[in-house]
Amino acid sequence: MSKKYDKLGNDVFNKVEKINSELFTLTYGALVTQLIKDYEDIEQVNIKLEQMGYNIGIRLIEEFLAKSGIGRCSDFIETAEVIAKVGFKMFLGVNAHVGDWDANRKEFHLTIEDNPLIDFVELPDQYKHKLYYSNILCGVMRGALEMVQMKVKCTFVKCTLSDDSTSEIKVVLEEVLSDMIPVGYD
Amino acid sequence: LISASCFEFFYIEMIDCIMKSSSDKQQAHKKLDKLGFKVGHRLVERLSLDTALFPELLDAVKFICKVFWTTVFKKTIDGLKTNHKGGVFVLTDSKFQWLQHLSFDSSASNKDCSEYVQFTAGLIKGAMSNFGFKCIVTFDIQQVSTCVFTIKIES
Repeated sequence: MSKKYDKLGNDVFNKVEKINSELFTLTYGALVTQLIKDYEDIEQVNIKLEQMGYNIGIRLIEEFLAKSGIGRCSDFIETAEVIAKVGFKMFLGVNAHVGDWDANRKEFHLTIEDNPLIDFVELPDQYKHKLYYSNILCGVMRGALEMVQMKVKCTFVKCTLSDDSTSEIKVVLEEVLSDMIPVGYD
Repeated sequence: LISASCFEFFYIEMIDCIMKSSSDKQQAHKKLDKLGFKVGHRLVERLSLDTALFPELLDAVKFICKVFWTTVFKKTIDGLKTNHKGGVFVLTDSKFQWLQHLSFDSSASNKDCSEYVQFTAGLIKGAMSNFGFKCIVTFDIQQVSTCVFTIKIES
């Protein structure tokens, strides 16, 4: 399954229009700096970044489904593979890996290789293990999955900027929302 | 490389975030201008590794019209004009990327979308400052997606 999505991720990424990632990296960095200035409290910055990601996720899922042609996943394991191999590849051009499943198959860790957001970034010591610099990614996943009826919680457990060896996000499936017909829509 | 739409999704959200976290439009524009300046300054540093250390003013502007613009917008500037003394440059982008996907509500009273362009004025200013030229950049949005940037060199 993993191989199939590896190939699909590559194919889709080859098809989409691309730009220089440095523009994105630098702009994101400038925004994070601005948020730290505006909010002062680092926890608030983490929350704000996650919220921004959520807003992006609920819009980005449409393009993701359209360009990748992926239909409904059979289970959460498949969903995880699709996020890692197709989602991260298609938008950020990077590889991500799924691992550390819990016994109920409701929780996994996503390891991101070469996260473009943190290129040439160094965190001052006082922000290490406090600021989740790439927290926007957690929000994007939460927003995108909510649009396909999955309520998840994503948290950074490791970040190379805080001297960890990898960048790792823990994804927990909290609830599968039922396909409800919107109110007033018969 | 990353997907262009990834950056654009982020860009729209960033504008929204800055607008909401500022007390008024003026402050928001100032912030966006400053953000652009920082990014432009650092981006041009990395793009101009093979360029002469102190390019002539016109060369610096041409670099922005071609190399810099292509990096950010995947196209060059469509028109460059300058006055006789060479202290003012007018750059026209007749298909400004960051206004392409905005939809306009024709009945809305507020049709200003300058917040989606302000960041770019900052980018230009930052890039020029890295080349050693201090300048003022103003812009004008014409028709649907034509943007005219005016660079005025400060002596």
